Amino acid sequence: MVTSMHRRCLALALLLTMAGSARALTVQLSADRTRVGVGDVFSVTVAMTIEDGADVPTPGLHLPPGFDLMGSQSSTSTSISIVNGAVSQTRTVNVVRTVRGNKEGTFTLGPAEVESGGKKVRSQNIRVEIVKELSKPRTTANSARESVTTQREIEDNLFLKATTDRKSVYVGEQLLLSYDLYSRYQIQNPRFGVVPSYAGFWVEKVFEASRLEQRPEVVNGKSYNKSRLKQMALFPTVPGVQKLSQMEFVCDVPIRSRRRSVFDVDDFFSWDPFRSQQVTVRASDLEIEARSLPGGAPRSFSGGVGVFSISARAALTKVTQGDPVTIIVVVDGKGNVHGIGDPARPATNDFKFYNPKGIVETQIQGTLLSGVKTFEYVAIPTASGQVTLPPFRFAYFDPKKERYQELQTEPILFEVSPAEKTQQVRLMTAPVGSAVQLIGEDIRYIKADVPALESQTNYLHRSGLFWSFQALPLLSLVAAWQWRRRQSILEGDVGLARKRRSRSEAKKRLSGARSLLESDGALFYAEIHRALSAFLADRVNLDTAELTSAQAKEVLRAQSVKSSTVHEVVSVLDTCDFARFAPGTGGSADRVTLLSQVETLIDALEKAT
Amino acid sequence: MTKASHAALSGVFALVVLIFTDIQSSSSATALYNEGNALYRKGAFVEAVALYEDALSTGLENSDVYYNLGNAHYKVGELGLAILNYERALRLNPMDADILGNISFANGRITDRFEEDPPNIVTRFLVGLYDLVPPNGLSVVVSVALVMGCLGGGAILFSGRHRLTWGAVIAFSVLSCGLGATVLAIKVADLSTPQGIVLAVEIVGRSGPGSDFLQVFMLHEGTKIVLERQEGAWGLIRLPNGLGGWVPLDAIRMI
Repeated sequence: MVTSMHRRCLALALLLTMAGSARALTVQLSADRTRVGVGDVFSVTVAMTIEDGADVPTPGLHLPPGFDLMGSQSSTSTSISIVNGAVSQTRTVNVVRTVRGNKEGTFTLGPAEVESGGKKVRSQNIRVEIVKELSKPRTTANSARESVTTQREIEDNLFLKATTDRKSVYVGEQLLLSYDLYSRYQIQNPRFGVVPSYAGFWVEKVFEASRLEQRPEVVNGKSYNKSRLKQMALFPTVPGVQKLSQMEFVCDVPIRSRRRSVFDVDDFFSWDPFRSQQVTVRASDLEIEARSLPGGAPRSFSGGVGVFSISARAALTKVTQGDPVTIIVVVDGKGNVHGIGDPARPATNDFKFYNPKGIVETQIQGTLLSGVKTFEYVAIPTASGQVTLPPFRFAYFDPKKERYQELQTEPILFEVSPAEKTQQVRLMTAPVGSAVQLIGEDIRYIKADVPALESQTNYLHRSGLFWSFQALPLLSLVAAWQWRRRQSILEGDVGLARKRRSRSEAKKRLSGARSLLESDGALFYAEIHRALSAFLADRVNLDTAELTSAQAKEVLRAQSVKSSTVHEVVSVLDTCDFARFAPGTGGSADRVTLLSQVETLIDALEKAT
Repeated sequence: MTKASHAALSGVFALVVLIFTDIQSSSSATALYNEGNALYRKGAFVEAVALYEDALSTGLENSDVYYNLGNAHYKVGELGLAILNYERALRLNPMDADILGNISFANGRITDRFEEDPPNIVTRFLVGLYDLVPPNGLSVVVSVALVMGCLGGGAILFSGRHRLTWGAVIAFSVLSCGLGATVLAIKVADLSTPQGIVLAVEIVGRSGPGSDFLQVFMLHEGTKIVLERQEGAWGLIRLPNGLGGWVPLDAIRMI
């Protein structure tokens, strides 16, 4: 801790140095105290002036054996000086090293060495006296300088007291350490200074003041305001006499002061009769005896000191052989919950156990630490059927009764269904594997040789032939539809149908007549007659099967057929009638002539009607 | 009647001639391809490239040749040409796992990246289905559906019985025919999309067809683009993210 007094001294030293050689690198070594107690922490400051712009070197500080370096911090300031019109700029770097002396005696600290630009600069040495014990309770006022308020006066009116609830405990047993501030001042800016690490103890915070609550208390006939600052639960981890190095507390104390000299810069600017002074108070060191636990601990003892209870349960009790099941063992109680090891596993071959996972939850009950430590065991049943998990055993040391206590959980009954055979085999023989790892990547290999490559661009949709073939079913459908339509029309209109069929009917009859050409004259003429008259009837859709020549004449006239044709038809019909009823008339030559005449006549009539 | 049969005869003749020349070119292309493969196996990739290209110059279009050519180009460090040939192979054979694998592998090595959302499962399914059916398959579907529909129509026309069943057949046919034709049309349009691959190591996209125009983006070898317009030696290209710009046409090659 750098006090303001020290800073002022340092500034003066620097000023002097700078006057000597403003630009050169200088190194100054100073300590905030030169007389300190064993184990006390004090500050050693290496002040360097360097040219602006140069790199900040790291000073090397030689510490004699018996000193520990606790920490380091640095600060930088820049100053501009004008001497005879020449402006020079200097940077001052203060490196503050926090040091602890562990041995009694007088020691020489330093020199501090700084290397810059290939040049080594050394500081002077300082002598520090480490004494066994400073008068206690000790107050470190920031004054070597004289003040109205003497150090003695401050010590009488402000002190920090550390108390423990007992001086001798077992290893692992709780010890309550309390810090109380006794003050007769109106203190300001209270804050914690150095908080020790309490080596050799497990520490749990019980209470820490966020603001000072003062209660009046009389000590040695004087009335003080007592404030509880902090309470901690300590658990010794190793046996033996343990020294509790103590905490420091910093606050500002208003102190009446008077003007000392015109060179005192602060006073020069402030005439305030009341000034505050930063004061660091430190509690006295304490010694605690940590006793070893007595011998004869049960095998299931795993370090618990206090009063505990234990319980165990399984996440589920109906399981399959080979499937893991979680068993939760809970140790609950007051004492060093952190220091508890795994409860002793039941000795059984029916389960395979894995190392448990321990979870600690603590809380403060009054000033006693209590808590729950939960152990999650993963167990795999190796037997099947009704399997009992024997109890977990847990022993702890009760410091009040000064003896060991052993507890055990209830046994847990499992219903284990046998594993399927394949699963069992897999469980037993499955080798430890890992996912296949990709080592390198490349393109896929080329396609293989082929006996014949085929073109893949013979696209059907590009071929006109393909699309013209598509017209085929459509066209056939259209044709079929047309044909069907015609059919239906024919079926509906008898006249038209007769007209359509007339020619083929007539042809049929004529060919029939041709076959009768040589054999039977009467039948031949009858056939000719029928062919012609039926043809006419079909053409004009007359009900009668045959027409007489008179009827034919009439019909044809109505159809306005040429009179020559009408005349011819009538003559053919008359010839036929005559020949039919007067056998023997007409030779075969006549018949052939008649046949061809009728054929041409039918052609003519077809056009005419 | 005689006219129609004459036309059919000449058509068949043309087909025979076509198939014959096809087989001719195919046999020489196959020899070149297999020879190229042998060189590839020996590690003579440059020579393999030449042979594969000779095989393709016979006019044969086969995805295996393009794929192996792409591989050979990749092996000699021509990433742009490798991707170009993989893409050409993919057009002919969109479902081939090797082609898809190497396209994605090669695309992992190009410089340009475009943020694209991975397609959802429905899109993936539809695209998969779309790629699964080749254009000829669609043509056959259209053809068969047409015949089926006409048969259905004929059956209704002549028998008059089971009108409902035949009606359903016709409806199904019309639907299949329409769907097949639509997908085919999309596919044909897709195949004729003027896509290209950047072959130059680096090209600058400009705001107009000329080197005086403002630079709008930089492209690198292997990036796939769509050519939208041409003007002289310059082409307006469109990137997958919608960005457009003019680049010299000799820096890209169409798939």
